[in-house]
Amino acid sequence: LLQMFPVRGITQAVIAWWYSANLSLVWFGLMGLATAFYLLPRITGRELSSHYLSLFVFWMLILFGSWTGIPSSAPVPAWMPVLSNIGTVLMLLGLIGLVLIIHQTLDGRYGLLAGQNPLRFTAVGLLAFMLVILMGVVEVFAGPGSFLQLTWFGNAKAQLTSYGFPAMVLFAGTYFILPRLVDDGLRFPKLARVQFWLATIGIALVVIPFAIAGFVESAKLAQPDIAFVDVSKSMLMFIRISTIGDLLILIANGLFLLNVAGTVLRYYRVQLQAGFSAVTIEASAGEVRS
Amino acid sequence: MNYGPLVFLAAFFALASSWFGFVVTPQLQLGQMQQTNTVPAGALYPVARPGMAQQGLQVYRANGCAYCHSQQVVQTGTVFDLLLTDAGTNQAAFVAALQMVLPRLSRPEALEFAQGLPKPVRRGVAKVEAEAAAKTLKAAGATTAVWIVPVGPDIARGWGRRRTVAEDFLFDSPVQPGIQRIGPDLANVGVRQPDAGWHLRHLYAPKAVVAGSIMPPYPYLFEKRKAGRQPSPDALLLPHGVEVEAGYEIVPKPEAKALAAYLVSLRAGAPLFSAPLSVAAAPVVAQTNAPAGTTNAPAAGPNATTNSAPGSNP
Repeated sequence: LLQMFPVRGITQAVIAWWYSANLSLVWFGLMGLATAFYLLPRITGRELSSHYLSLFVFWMLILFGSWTGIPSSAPVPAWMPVLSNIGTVLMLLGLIGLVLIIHQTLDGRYGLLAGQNPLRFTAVGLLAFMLVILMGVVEVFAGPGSFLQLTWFGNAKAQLTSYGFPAMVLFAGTYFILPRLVDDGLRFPKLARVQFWLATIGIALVVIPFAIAGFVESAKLAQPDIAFVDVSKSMLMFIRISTIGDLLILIANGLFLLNVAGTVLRYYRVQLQAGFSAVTIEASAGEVRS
Repeated sequence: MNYGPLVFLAAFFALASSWFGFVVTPQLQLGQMQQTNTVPAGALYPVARPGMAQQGLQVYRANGCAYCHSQQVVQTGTVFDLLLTDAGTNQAAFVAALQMVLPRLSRPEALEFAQGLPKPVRRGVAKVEAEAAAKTLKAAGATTAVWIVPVGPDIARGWGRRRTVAEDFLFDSPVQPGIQRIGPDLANVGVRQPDAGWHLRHLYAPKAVVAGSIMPPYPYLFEKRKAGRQPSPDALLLPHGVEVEAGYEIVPKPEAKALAAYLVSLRAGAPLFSAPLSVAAAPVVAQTNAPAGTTNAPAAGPNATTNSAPGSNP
């Protein structure tokens, strides 16, 4: 409806908003949750506390998450942002379910999460997901006349939704699966821990300044006496801090690439060597007739 | 019990419901939207943008302007003014009614109030209060007009007269409502900056045109070429602080001109049923019989306008 038979006018924006909300919250969210719900019991060795609770969490997130997406300020009939706001707030039910299931599965032993690398990533990812839902609720309660969604706060939420949650959990999954596929484990095991800290601090440095910037900008935009150039000037410091965060994320991703590439290459090199020596015989120089 | 099919059905139902809600229903409601009429003048709205402006929309999209500029004016409420338009013929009743509505007026002041109408009797009040005052005055034979005034920080900032509604985007494809305000809202920029030349200068060197701007320049939309014997009529009147070598001029490429035409066409202030607003009626232009060409008003071109001083706030 957007590409092949473009719909008219603002309907395009509505469909685009529906699509991107579903993509980030439902598709990526569920993918990340699936990985997290697999890794958590697998690595800690404890069973997920309740089968039904996890199904409930999934159901809540799909049911209400797919209705989010339309910003309050959108130039559309009012029922659309209202439904989106209802969906966003009702995702709190899924959030409560998620917190319950994690708490019950770990049974209070949160120290387990800091133990292994995949678990650390999963923990940060789940925390990011919970923050995304909470940020959505904050946006709703800011009121229909607030500019929060049009400020850096919306950007912060988007970063958290795309990097904070799915990427972190996928890192966890990769760090879990890859060493089991190859014989020797990760190429640079210590780098994995460095990458974790860089990525976590990086995403925190991106999200927290942008979230604060969003609140500041929203408050300033609500006062018409403040000229717009002053509003954008006050954002500059936050943008600078978050650029440092971006740099850290860049380095972290580079380390990840190095680690994965190194592991895979080493694995194939070992295999190639084994295959080569299986079909050839070592000959000493004297045996070869010139 | 095999949960597989049940889970699949549940997920399918959930996603299908939101698809129906946010894809099918908006298409049914908004997808067949036609032009509407302004209220009360009854003019057709919106009118499709002129050709250059349509091309400019594609340039706007191609350069990602929507990532920094929104086109949504936010309105937080509506207040009402009550204007007294005619005092009527029953002077005694009128004075009594006016003193009920404006208690601080004495009788001679009330009589004086009736001169120089229309005058506001209530400003910035709720609808109920405005209508109550209107009723009192109408009972005395006066005529009043209720004036609808949208309010909100965006409106107070001069970014628009009313909130943007779906009709404003009717003929745009793809629509560009924007997601973030790293730069000012552009829904009504054609009203604030109706001069295409300002937009061209701003695109070329935004920091020179608006002090403190963080917008990056777009020099690739322009061409620097050798000036002929006379400067080209399209050449940019460079803002303060921007220099080009002697003998060279900056000329906008067709993309820049299209983009400027699009920006100038961005106006979202017409009063509609879905976004009511009272506007002063356009002054009636006396139909003259003067043949065309009598007046020598110069055609405003990109070169003819004055340099707006840096620091002007869009």
